[in-house]
Amino acid sequence: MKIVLFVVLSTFLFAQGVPAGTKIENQAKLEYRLGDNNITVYSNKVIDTVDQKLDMKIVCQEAEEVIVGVSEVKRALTFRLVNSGNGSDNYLFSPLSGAESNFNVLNPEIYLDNGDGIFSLANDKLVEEMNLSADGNATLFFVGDIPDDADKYSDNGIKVASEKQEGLAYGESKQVDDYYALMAVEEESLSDLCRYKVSHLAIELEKTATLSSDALYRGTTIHYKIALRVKGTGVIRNVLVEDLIPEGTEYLPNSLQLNGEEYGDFNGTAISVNVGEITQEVESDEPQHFVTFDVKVI
Amino acid sequence: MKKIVLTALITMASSINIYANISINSDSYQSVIKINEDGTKKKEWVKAEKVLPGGVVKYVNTLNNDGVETATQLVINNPIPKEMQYLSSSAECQGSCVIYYSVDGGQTFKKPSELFVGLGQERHLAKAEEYTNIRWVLDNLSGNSQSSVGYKARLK
Repeated sequence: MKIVLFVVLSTFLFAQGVPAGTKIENQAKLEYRLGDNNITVYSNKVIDTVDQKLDMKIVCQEAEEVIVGVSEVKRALTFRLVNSGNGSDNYLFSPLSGAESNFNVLNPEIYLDNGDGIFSLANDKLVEEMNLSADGNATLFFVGDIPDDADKYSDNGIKVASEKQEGLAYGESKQVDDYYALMAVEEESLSDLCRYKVSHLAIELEKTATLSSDALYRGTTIHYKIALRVKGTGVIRNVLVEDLIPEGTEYLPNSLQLNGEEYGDFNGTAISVNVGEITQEVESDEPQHFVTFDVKVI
Repeated sequence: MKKIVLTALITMASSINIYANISINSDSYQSVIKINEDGTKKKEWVKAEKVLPGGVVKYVNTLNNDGVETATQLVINNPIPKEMQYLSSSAECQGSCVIYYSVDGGQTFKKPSELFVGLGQERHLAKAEEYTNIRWVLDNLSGNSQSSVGYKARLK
């Protein structure tokens, strides 16, 4: 008769627990009376070695889709890796792409966060693997380039493999040093995806100049007009238009306007106009806003 | 003279045989699910092999009286390993016994309803996971017989 034994994987109450390899000792003492004699004997020492529970999880940390534009490079998706087992483990990473993606990102890479939670090429480290102690965690970034022909969505993420887990299915174990490592993770916890969403929304600026004379002379006024056009449909927030005053000219005070009304600032070298939010619900070639200002040739 | 010496020797030999020889053997067990070929499942306790945080271990102390004389006033003290948490009401014995617990490393033993920990406002009835030792008291163990005591604990 074939008998298959499964160790009961009870509901674990603790993320970490007693470290793997710890020796647990149990020994009892017996005292008894025999006639007039008091006798003491000790039991053997039962020693159990704590095994290692291989338990990890990687989870996308983006609350929403990450909006990207075509041809953008090094756009990051944020993930968190947690080792909730009771021993250290070395994790190997590989980029992952979702089956339902509309496009593939270029040059996928994985970076380890330096601790500030923000992706930065200068501060974060390109990684293929890392070691985490029991109950340790790390923030990782999946980073990729958006291709020129990107459209709609792309799901991307990280797949994690533990060195100790190699060859083990859920519930299986193997000997590591003088104890066993038992796989306590289901396949679906070993990877996760976040989503890029492509936005084709963009602002185009067209700048024209009109002279107060037929040619450029000292004293000629140049009237500049910057037209803002929105490509695509949607909402663009925090639009700020800035422009340097050309060399050899001086800004004419109070000439700066947005859509014909005095608005904006001049800081001595450049004008700036905070346009704010622009909404385009229907595609149109008509400019939504105009920024104008005058300078005089000196 | 020879006869007296012989009698004395026989008496001595007989005296040795009536002493009780009680041994205590400790073992650890864990629960497994046995699946038979016909698909039926059964929960069993087997010698502990894979001990993981959160897992339950059953410790069993087996008493064996090899002699013919009855031993009396048996007291078994078992410190609970510091990495383990005693499972409430799991201490048991074969036959009849009285069970006490300690929360001060075995200095004093009381019944659960009399065990308190903490000072002042934090003083409270001790929880099972705060027990440090277990004591079983058995009246007697007859010659040529066995008994056992045990408890369960969860690995932190």
